[in-house]
Amino acid sequence: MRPKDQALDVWGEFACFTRPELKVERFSYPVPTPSAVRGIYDAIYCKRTEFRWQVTAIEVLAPVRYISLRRNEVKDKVSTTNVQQWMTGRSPPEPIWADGTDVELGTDMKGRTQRQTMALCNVHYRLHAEIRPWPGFEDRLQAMEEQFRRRAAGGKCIHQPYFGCREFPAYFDLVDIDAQPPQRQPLDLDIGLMLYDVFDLSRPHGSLDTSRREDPDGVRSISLFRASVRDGLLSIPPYESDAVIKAQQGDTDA
Amino acid sequence: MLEVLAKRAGAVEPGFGPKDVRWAIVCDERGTFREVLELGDTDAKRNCGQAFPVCPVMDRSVKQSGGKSEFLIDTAANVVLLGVAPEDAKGRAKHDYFVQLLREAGQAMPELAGLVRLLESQAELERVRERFIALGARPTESVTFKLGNAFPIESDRWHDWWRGKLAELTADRRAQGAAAGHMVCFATGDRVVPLPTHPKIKGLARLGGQRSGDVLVGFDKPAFQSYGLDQSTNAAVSKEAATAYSTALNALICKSSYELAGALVVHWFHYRVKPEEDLFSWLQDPPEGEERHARQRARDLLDSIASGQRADLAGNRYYALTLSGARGRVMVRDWMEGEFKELAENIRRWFEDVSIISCDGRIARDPRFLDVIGATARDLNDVAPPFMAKMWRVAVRCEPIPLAALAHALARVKEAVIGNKPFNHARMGLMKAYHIRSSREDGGKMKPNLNEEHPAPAYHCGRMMAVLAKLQQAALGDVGAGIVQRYYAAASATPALVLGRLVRGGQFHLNKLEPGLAHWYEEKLASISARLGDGVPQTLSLEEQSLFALGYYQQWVDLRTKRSDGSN
Repeated sequence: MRPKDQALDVWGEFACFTRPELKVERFSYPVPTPSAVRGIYDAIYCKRTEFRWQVTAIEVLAPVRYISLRRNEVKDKVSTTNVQQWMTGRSPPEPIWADGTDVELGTDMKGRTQRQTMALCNVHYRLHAEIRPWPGFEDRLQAMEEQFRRRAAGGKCIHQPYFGCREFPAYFDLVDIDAQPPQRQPLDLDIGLMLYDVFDLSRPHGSLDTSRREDPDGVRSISLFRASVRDGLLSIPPYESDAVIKAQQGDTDA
Repeated sequence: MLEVLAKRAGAVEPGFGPKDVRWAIVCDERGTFREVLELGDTDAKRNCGQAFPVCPVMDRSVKQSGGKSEFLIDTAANVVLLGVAPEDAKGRAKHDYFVQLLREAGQAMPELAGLVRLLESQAELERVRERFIALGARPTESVTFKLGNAFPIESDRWHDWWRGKLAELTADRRAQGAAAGHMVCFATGDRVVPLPTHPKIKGLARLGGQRSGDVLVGFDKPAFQSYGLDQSTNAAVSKEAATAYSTALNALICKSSYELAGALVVHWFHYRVKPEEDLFSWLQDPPEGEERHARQRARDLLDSIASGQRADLAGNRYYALTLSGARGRVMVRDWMEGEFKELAENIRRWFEDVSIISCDGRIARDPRFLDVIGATARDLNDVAPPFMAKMWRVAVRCEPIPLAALAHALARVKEAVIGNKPFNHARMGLMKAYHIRSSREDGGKMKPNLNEEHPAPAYHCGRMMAVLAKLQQAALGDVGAGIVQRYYAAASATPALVLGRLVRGGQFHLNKLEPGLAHWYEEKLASISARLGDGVPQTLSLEEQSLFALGYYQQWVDLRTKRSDGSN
């Protein structure tokens, strides 16, 4: 049984699909990355041990418009060790310093810093994706697709989907199978190398924690592809295809 | 973006790159000090020095390991200890390392041994320093050597030695990188060992950057590092690609950039174009000469592309990058690319959209881009860099003009009209362009000169205001604060409240005129009233107020020029 196309209309006020090379003073790709779209589908329906989402196409329904934002951001991350010690009662909680000068904090690596974001505004897309069951779950494909459609039609989600950054919520609407094709923007773009995903999508994941260096699915899983928008349509190659440039080859058993 | 920049650089070898050098220590072939020579354009206000295309570039990670200096070219502080205190151990270590590199390079270039002797002699060093101080050199300025009539830096005999030295210096770090694993390069798509820290981009010191340079790709704070990746491995780029993109960007900033209100615009074409066909420079400084020159030339270019005469331009592409500095980081404010043909069309439309009649009744000269931007603020320095970047995109990509630009321009127009100051053509042109771009259908009614068929009542309200002002002047002469000074602001916001009263007052002015002239004014007012249709609007929105201003301006020019032509 072939997976069916699951289309969603998504829209929102802001979006930032950050280019990894310009992630500090953020600059958005003009269209969503496949990983950002996968995140939207995952927010609605996700069972990582049973299936994964394969994004197939993104249709751009609103003009690409950039907006410049400036925000105060923290420089530091929460220390997991400190949190674990606090959970077991071995030490008091240690907050992230959200303010303070270098002199007060004794380091330039803590406190807050003002950073630019070149985000997109008033975005509207029609997304297309398919459910790809992992081996052993192929016979449940129809049930999975029905569950997704029930959840998406009812507006249910595990967490609010977002456009690249969590502060930019995405609103969604399930597209009827018989729906008319939308009016796409007359947009032609050669984006060049674009981020495909930061995780290895060729195998099931119980956890997507790639912070451990010894994890073989970790730092070497970032994949890219050549993105090209034609007449408002960005076609996404399947993860296992050669069009997706992966750091490690030959792990495409999905 | 990195990919395009890296390709632009062509074949660039890591460890080599161009540098500008301000000073040269001149010695004879045996290394005896002769003179200190200032290089470059010594008459220039800001002398950048002489450019040497192939110079040794020390790996940044090696240099940061401490006590290291460059080879053959470095600062006066590192070369001759200019401004370095005797107790400054770090400064002296860098000088010693500079001398050590020269000594080692003596295997390939024996003449460098003379320079080693010079730099090791305290008495000679003191003489060189005195000369630098007398010439006003600063410790941070770059210095190289001239042996007889030749610069050792221009020889290629040190190249092989330098490659070997660099490999030796970076061997440990490469091994560490290889252990971290291969990743996909964001600039080339190849599987590479990512570079942890990228080369610096220079030339943004006046735009928020640092004199020593800023990095385009850099992740120094923990909050910006993800998935357990350190520093620039967050966006893997190979050393070769990083060298290539930084070399290309530095060269473009040096040779093909211009500053626009707090941001630096860099542009280039896939295939080089003649300077007179560089459409971006037209925005900066429209070609002078005939009237409507820029528009006409853009149209000619488009025609020649369409007819196949300029097939070279048809296949060309443009790239434009807007940058500013942010304390050590390069901030990308915009990135645009597209076909040359599309750019020519957009530039033509920009000039056509902002074209407007001038006070003397002819079409005003094509305004410079900065004049248009400056028209939205009291001073060009008050323009915010994001706004400038947005307007640059508006011009290059033919996008709609933001409402904020209209609001700023309108405020300045009101101030000028009420203050009886001359009209700014670029400002009026910007307001006209706003209406053309916000709605091609209605905007098409907006012409450079007076359009009596315009469908908007607000436009005709502005026209009526101009006619009433002219009538008052014709009847009473100079009265100090006329109806424009007293009522323009109110009439442009609430015309129904004000214009009726002004028209009634105009009857008294008509009685003071000769019958023929009074009749002409009556007919003019009647024709405008007929255009108002259902009546004068109660209130006007911001956009309608700008139409009011355009109607006022174009009618004012029309009355003024017809009178001077003797047709009135």
